[in-house]
Amino acid sequence: MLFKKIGTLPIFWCCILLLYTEITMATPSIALVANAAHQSILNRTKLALETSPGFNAKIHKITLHDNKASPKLITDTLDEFTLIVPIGSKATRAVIKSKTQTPILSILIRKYAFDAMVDKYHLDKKSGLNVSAIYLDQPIERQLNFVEAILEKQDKEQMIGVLLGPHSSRLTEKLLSEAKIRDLKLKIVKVNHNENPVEYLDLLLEDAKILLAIPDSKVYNPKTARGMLLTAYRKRVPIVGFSKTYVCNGAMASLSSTPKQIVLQAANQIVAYLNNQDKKLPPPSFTDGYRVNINQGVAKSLGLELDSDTSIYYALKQREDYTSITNEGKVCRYDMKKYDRIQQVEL
Amino acid sequence: MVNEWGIKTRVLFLTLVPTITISLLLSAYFTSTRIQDLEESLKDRGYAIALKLAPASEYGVFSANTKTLQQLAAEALSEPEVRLVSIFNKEGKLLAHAGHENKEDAVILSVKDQPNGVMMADTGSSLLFTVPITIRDVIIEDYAYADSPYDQPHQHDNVIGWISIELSRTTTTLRQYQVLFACGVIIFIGLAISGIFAYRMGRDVTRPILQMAYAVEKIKNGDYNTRVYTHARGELRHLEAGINTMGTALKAAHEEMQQSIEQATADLRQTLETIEIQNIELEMARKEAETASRVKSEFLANMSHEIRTPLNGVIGFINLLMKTKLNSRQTDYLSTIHKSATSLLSIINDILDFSKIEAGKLSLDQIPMDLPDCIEDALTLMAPSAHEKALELVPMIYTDVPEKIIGDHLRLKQIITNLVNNSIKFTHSGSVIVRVMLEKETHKHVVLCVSITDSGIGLSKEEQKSLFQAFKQADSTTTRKFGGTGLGLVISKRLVQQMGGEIGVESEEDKGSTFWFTFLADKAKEQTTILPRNDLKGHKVLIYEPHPTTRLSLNHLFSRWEMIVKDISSTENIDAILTDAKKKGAPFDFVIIGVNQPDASGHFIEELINLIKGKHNCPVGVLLNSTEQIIHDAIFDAGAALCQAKPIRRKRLYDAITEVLTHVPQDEDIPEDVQIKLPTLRIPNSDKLTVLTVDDYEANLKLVNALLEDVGINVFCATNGKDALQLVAQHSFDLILMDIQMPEMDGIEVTNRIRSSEPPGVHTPIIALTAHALLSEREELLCAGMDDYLTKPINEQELQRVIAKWTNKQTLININSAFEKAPTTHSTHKIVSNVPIDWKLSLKLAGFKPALAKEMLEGLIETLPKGQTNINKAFSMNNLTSMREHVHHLHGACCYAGVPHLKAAAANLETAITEKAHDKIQFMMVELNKEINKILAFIKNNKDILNTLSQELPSKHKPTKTEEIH
Repeated sequence: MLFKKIGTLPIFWCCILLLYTEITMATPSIALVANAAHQSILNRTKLALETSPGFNAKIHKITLHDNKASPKLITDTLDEFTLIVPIGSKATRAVIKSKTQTPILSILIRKYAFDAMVDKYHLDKKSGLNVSAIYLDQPIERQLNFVEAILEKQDKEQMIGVLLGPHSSRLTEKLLSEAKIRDLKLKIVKVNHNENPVEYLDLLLEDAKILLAIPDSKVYNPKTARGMLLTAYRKRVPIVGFSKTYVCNGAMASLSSTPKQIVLQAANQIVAYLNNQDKKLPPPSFTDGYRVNINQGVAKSLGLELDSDTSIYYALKQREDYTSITNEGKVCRYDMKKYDRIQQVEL
Repeated sequence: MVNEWGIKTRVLFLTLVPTITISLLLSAYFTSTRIQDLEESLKDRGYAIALKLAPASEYGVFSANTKTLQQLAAEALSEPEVRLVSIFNKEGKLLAHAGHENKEDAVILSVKDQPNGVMMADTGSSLLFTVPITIRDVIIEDYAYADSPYDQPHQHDNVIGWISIELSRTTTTLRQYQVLFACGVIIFIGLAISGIFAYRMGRDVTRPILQMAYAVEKIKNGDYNTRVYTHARGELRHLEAGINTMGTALKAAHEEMQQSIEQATADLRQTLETIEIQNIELEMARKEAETASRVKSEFLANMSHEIRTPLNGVIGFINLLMKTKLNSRQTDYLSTIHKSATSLLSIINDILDFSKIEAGKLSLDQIPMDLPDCIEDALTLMAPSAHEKALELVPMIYTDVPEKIIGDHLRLKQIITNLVNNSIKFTHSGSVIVRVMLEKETHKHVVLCVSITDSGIGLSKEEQKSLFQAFKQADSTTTRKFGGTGLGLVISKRLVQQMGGEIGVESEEDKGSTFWFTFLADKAKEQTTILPRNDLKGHKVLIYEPHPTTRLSLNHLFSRWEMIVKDISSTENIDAILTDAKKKGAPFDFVIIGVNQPDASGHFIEELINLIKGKHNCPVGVLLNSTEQIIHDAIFDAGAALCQAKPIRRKRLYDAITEVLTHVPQDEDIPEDVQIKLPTLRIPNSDKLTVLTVDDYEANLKLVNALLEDVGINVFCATNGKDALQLVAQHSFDLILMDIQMPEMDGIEVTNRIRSSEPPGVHTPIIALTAHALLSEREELLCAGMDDYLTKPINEQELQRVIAKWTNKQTLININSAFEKAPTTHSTHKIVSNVPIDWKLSLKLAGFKPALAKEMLEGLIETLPKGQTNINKAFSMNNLTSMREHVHHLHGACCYAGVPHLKAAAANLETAITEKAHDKIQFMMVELNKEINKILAFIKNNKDILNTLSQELPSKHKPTKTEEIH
C-alpha cells in the first residue's frame, strides 16, 4: 500500500529538485543526497570525488527540503544511478524509504541511527540491496583509549561513569569488556525511555569522577546537555564528549572526525566501488582519522591539568596502534553484522 | 454674543484660548507621556531585573541551591523599588525569598504577558513580575541536530522554576505626581504670563480707543478744545492725530460759523430794527388813515344827519303847506320842491347808509316778517314811478316760497326798492318783473332768490363788471342821462352779503337785464298755518289782461284762491264768452279788467264796464297802472266794483273781491279798505290829549307841533331836557315825544329822570324821536325806559298811529288800527304791543261768547293787584317757591283772558324761576310788573271798555273775519 502511494502520487510525496537527470548507460552516475543543513559536506564530497584519481562518473546533487519530516525520493529517478550517497540520517532515511534498488553508501550518520534503520527496514534480510555506511561515531575502543589517555596524568583508579539510553544500551557489554581489557573502572547507568537523564546523572556522579558520554539522543540532547553540564560542573566531574561542539559548550575533551577525514574516506570508498567489478560495497565502518579536542578552560576550572591536543592525540595514536596491533583485523575488517555477532559471541 | 465683545476681550480671547489650548494639549501630552514613560520604565526595569535574575538563578534553581538563590534575591532587593523577590522551583515550592512577607494576597488588577514568558501583574500599588527560569539548550553535536533523531523539546519542559519580583509603584507614583504638579505650575505660570501680556495688550489698544471715544463724545458735545494724548502707537496714533486734527478743524469751523452767525444776527437785528421802525411808522400811518377815514365817515354821517334834519323840516312844512289853499301854480311849484326835497333826502339816506355800512355799524334785524307783504310794500312804493313810464310792474311770488320768515324787512325792502328803482330808471317801455323763488330749504333756514327782470337798455359785459363798485354807474354817460348817486347797488350788495347771499346781474345790451340776489333767512318759528282762503272757492272769474306776465300772475293768484279762472288777452270776444258761459249755466261771477294806462280820451273802460255790468250783470274789477285818485274815482263812477292800482296787493284784492262777491254791494261808491288807506285819519277827542315834545331843533319842534295841533292835540314844547323835566313836574302828559340827541342832557337821561320821578302805577308813555334806526339803538332806547320810537323824518301818519297806540282815548279807531298792527309785531318780540288786552283773542278763547269773555277778563283784572303784590313780596323775600306758585296762578288766569303780553311775561317769569336764573328773574319781574301796570292803567283809563267791547265789536268784526287773514 505504501508503495502504491509512492508510485501513484510521486509529486505529492516528494519535493525533490532534480538539477539535471541526464543519465547514460555508459558512464556511471552518483547521486549525492543531502538536506539543506549538510550542503557544505555535500559540496566537499563532490569536490573530493571529482579530485579523486580514477573517478569517472557523473555526480548528481539532490537536495532534500527539510519541511517534511521524512522526505521521499522518486524511486524511478533514483534507480537510474549507479550509487546513491545520502549524507546525514535524514537523507539516508529518505533514500531508504524510496525503496530504490540502487546501492546506498550513507555517510555522516551515527551508528545507532543506522542500525535502527537497518532494523526498521530489514535491510540485512534483503539479499539484493547493497547498503553500507561510514559512521560518524568513534569506536568504543578508541573512546576508552582516549579516556585512558586523559587520565594518564590523573589517578587511574578513578571511576568512569557512563550513562546509557535506550539506543545505546546494547553497548553495555562491549563497554564492560573493553574496560576490563584496559583495567578501567566503569559505572554504567541505564536511562529508560521516559526518565530524566539528569537525575540519573546526579546519581551516577556520586561515584564517578569522569563522565564518558556515549551518543544517544535520548540521553544527550541540547535540552539535557545544559543540565548535565551544570550538574557535572557542580560535582566537579569532567565530561568527555563526542563532538568538538560539545567541548566548546562545556565538555572537557572529545574525540571526533573532521569533515575532511569523513569526505576523503567516503570518496575513497566510492571510487573503490565504482572501480570494483562485482559492484559490492564494503561493510559499514568507522572513520579512520580522528581528532582530539580539549577545553583547557574547563579543565582548569575543574582543577585538572591536561596536555595539549596534539600530545594527547599522539598518546592516543600510540595506544590505537597498540590496540590495532593486538586486535588486528578484528575491528577493521568487521562488517556490521559480523561485528555484532562477534560481540554477542564474546558476551 | 462673540460680536458684542470689546477689543480687550477679543484680544484676551485670541491670546488666551489658543495658548491655553496648546499648552493644555502639550502638557497633557507630555505629562501623559512622562507618566507613561515612568510607568514604562518601571515596567522595563522590572522586566529587566526579572530577565536578568532569571538566568542568574538558573543554576540555583536547577541545583536547588537555596543559599545561592537567597543571596541572589537579597542582591536583587537592593535595587530601588524592588520590594519583594521570591524564587520558586518548578513545582511551586519557595526556594528563596527576600523583602516583605507577602502575607496577604494582593488584588491583581491585570495580567499581561511579556516577551520571554514574563508575566506582569498589576496590583495597583505595585507591579508583580513572574519570570520562568529556564534552562537553555546547549548544542552538543557538530553537525545539525537532524543527524540525531531528537524531537524538538517543548518550551515548558525547559522551565525549571519561577521568580517573582514585586516592584513598588510608590516612587513612580510620586514622580508622576511631581510631573503633574510641575506641569500644572508651568501651565499656570505660562497662562499667567500670557494673560498679563494679553491684558496689557488689550488695555494698550482699548484705553486709547476709549479715550478717543470719550474725546469724540466731548467734541460732539461742543467741547472743541478737547485733544487726545494716549501715547498709543501704530494705527491708533494715526487715529489720535486724525481726531485731534478734526477737533482743530471743527473748532475753526465752529468759530467761523459762530462769527458768521453773529454777523448775520447783527445784520438781522439791524434789519429787524428797521422793519420795526417801519412797522411803527406804518402802524401810525394806518392809525392816521383809519382815524381820517373814521373822521370822514363820522363827518359824512354827521353831515348827512345835519343835512337831513333841516330837510325833514323842509319836507314837513311842504306837506303842511300843501294842505293849505293854494292856486295851481303854487301847487305845481310846491310839488316840484317836494319832489326835489324827497330825492335829496333819499340821496342823503343813501350816503348815510353807505357810511354806516363802511363803518361796519350796520346791523340787521332778525324779526318775523311777511315776505309777500314786504315785496308788495316795496313795489307799491315804486308803483308811481313805474306808472309814470307806463311800465308793468309784476310781482311773482312762487308758491313754494314761505310767507313767514325771520329777517330785516326794512333792509330787504331797501334792496328790492333799489334794484327795482334801478330797473325802472333804465327801462323806457315794457315791464319790470320781480320773481321770488325758493332756492334751498333746510330744517331751519331757507335760501331765497329774488330776481328783477326788466326790458330796459341792458348792460354790456364791461359794465356788468364794474356795476357793484361804489360811486360807479354802468356808464358815466348814463349818470348824466339818468342821474343817481350810484350808491344803490353797492349798498344792496353789502346788505345782501350781510344777509348771507349773493348778488348778480345777467344782461344783454338792448335786451334788458336781470338783477338777482339771494339771501339766507331763518324760517319763522311759529310758521302760522296758512289760513285757508276759501271764501272765493268755486267762483268763476274772467280775466282780461293784455300784458302776458301780469295775466299769468293774476291767473296764478286766483287759482291759488281756488277760483275758476279764464283769461283772455283781447276784448274782442268778451261778450261772446260771457254769453256763452251764461248759456252753459255757469256764468262768470266776476270780471277783472287789467289796463296799463287808461286812455285819457277814450272810454274803453267805461264801455267795457257797461257792457259787462249792464248786459251780463257781472261785477267788474279794474286794475290799472295808476294811483291817481281822479282816475280811480272815474272808474268807480263808471260802475266798477273795485279799482286797484297795479302792482296788486294780494290781501287787498282778496278782501275786495270777497267783499264784492260775498256781499251784495250796498255802498258801491267807496270800498271800505280803500277808505282806510286815505290819509285823512283824524283822531276824535284828540283835544283831550296833552303831549309834550322835546327837541333842541326848533324847526322840528315846530313841525311836530304843527302836525299835532292839526289834529287838535295840546302841545307843550321843550327845547332841552331841563325844560322838559320842569314841564313834566308841572303838568301831567298823556304822551311825551323825546328827541334823543340833545345838548346838555340827552333824551335817554331825561327819560330816566322822568321814570325815576314817576309815582308808582303812573306810566307816561315816552316816544323817542331818532334818526338812527338801528336795531341795537332801538333796544337801547326801550331798555332806557322808552316805550316806542319814531324815526325821523316824522311821517304824519306814523305820528298819528303812535299817538293813537299809546293814548287810548280814541278807542274805536285805535283798536282797529291796533288789531291791524298787532299780528305783525307778535308777542315774541320785546317790542311789546301797546294794547294790553286782545279782545279778539279773548273772544276766541271764550268761544266767541262776549259775556263769558268779559267775565274772564273782569275776573283776571280783579285778581291782578293782589297777585302783583304777592309776587313782589315773594320776590323781595327771595322766596322762589312761593313766587313760582303765585306766578303760576297768574299764568293760569291769563290763559283764558286775552292778555297775550301778560301771559307771555308770566310764562317767561315762571320758566326763569324754574331755571333759577336770577338775573333773568329780575328782568322778567320788571316786565311782568310793567304788563300788569299797563293792564291796570288801561282798565282805569277806559272803565267802560269792556262793556263796549262785549257789545259792539263782535257784531262788527266777527262776520268779516278780516282779522284772521294776514
